[in-house]
Amino acid sequence: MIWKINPMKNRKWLELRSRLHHDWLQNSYITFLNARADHLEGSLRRSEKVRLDVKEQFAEWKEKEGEFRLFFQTAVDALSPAQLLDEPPLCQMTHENRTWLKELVHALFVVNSQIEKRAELLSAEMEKISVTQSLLMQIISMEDNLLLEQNDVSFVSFRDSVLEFSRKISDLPHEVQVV
Amino acid sequence: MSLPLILIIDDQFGRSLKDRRNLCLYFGLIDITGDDPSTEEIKNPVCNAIFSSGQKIENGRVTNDIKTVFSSLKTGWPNSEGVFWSLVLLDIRFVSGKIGNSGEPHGQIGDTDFGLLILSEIIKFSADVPVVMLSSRERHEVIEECRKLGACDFIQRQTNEKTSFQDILRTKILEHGLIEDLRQGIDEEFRIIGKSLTMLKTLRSARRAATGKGNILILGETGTGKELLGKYIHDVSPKKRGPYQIFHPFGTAETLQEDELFGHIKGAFSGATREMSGLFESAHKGTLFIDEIGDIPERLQAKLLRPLETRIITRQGSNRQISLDFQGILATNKNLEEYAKTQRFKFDLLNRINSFSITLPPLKDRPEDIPLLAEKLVKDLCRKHEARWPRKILPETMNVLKKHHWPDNVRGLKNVLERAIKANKDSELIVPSDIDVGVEEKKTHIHPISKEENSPVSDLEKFLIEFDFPREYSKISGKFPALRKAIGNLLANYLIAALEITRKRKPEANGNGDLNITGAASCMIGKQLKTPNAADLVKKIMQFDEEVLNEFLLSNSTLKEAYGESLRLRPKGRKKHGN
Repeated sequence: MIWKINPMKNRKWLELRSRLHHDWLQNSYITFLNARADHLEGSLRRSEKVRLDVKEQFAEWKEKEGEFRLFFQTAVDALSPAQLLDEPPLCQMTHENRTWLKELVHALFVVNSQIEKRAELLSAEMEKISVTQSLLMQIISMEDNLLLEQNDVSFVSFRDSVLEFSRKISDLPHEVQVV
Repeated sequence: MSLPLILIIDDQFGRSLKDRRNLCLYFGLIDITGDDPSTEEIKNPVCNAIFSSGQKIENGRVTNDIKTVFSSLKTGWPNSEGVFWSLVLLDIRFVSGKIGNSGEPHGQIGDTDFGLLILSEIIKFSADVPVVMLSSRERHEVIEECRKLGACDFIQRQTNEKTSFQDILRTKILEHGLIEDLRQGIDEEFRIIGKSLTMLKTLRSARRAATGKGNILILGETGTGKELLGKYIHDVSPKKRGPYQIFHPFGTAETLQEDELFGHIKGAFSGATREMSGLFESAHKGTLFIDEIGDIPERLQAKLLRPLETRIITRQGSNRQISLDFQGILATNKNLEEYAKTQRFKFDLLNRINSFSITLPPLKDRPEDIPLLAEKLVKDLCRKHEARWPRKILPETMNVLKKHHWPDNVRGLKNVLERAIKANKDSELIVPSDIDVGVEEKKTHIHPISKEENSPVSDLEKFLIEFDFPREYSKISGKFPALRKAIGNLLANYLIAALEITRKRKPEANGNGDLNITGAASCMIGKQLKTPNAADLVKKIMQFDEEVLNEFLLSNSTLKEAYGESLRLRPKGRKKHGN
């Protein structure tokens, strides 16, 4: 992987991470899933108010998908030690030296850290969650318990997969990785 | 029964009603903040909750604000009804800054640890506020710092644990919270009344002690409710479904006390016509409450050592060992440490029962509980005496009750109210003149150690206290050498008495036992000394007068031994550095 000209810097990426993962996914969306998953299991017809609430909060996931994609795509750059060469004291090196050194440390980082692979896996996991959520949304809209049984999905297992997704995001490093 | 009341300080759940509703459903909270018109019904709620964002919003900016936190905190420490926050749940990260298009602030430096700043300020305000941190961060990342700053515990908001969050929160409230006696389904007569901070902390200690294993020592003046607290411990412990047995030593001969506790086999003694189990066995899988442990005779104290340590007993007349599983609760109004120092109570037994002790506060230390207690007692007493109508206590009467020092504690309060009710059966009111506190005695404190009131020691004590030197001090100057010798004699004899009293004797060993310099010196001055300091004190006492010292070293082997030992143990002087 080649070091980009204007990559996302670690600080910006951490801000995105805080907003997206901590503030929204953990504090808001997972709290919603924890609050509703057990209630929803097998009781779709009980409350119109609850169904509306669930649909509204499911819709938020769709809004956040784009930001999550950006977050995963920029993980490698944001954690790469190459950016340290743009900051003091390393930025005082000659442009020529910095250029080849950046390429080198970035390439070493990519090979050693496996961040690229982890980000790709997380991205795929997110797409899977999106598909399951769309199905659950459809089931809720149609109030169709039969469809729920036929597709072998459950609100609780959906909640657990989102929890696992969040745990894996938490495991991503926060700081620039030194090779 | 009322629910505990908690304060949740969290930026997001304080601000966003949508997220807060989800949290309430998830944790089983009834939101009584008053700013959400459409709260959902919560089934089996855990507690009532008030939310505070800890922030203020002005001109499109969110600012983290300690003042906002404190204006919320102080509404419940305590509130207008005297109720304290049962628990404070505190977030760590508070996002502030300019509000963006999403309606949320962008965040700024200082947000990440603002919760820790709040925590340290709360603990500065009162270290008694039970704060549990609530965060999505990993426990191991933050627990150490939070504990150092004074938090009781940490709850991670997102976890894959199978335990429901409602159960987690219930457990944390029981473990760390300041909550009244909320037991359900008990006879109201056994409920512990009190919402003062002192009492709430005592109840919390009791819940923490109630592990269902080991021994718990309840200390407290007479009439403070030690037996009620014993039952409370049993009811909140894992042994609550087991039996609860009570042993009172008073009014029973020593041999019968042993029989009551240990039981016997047929033929164990004359009259033992059939096998019988004792209270230890009856308490198996439950709790045994031994009242007035300080008054149990020495021989029986020795017999209690084994069952209280190993949970193994043998019935009288039998060799068969019976293994038991019970929670031991022991209560006394005596100062057992003092008793042990003067050999009225076995040190060994004290060590076995003292691992978790709870002191019940006297009523004078929790006057704010007197109105609640008085109302409840009057209700119970009216029922007992079949009063024609409920009795009301006038505010002036309540003031009289609140100002009294209540040496006999709740029992004394009950007696006074009972007299008031009996004296005027047809009245609707209890007025100040009905309250007769004159006959309550002023004696039952936790140091009732002076039983030998008429001994020569008491005479000496009286003489020393009352003795007054003549005001013409010049006339006594010539008496100083003789006085010094007399006082030296007295001190040496005082020291001999303390040394003899505190000798360490092993049950199986012959002889007088070993000298205990530390114990003797501590006993003399009434506080626990470290060994070098105790040795120094003994040395100084003996060197008070050189002539006396020489006489005693020749004539008294105890003092001779003690002097040698004190010289060996005393603090070493600082070495002078040479030039």
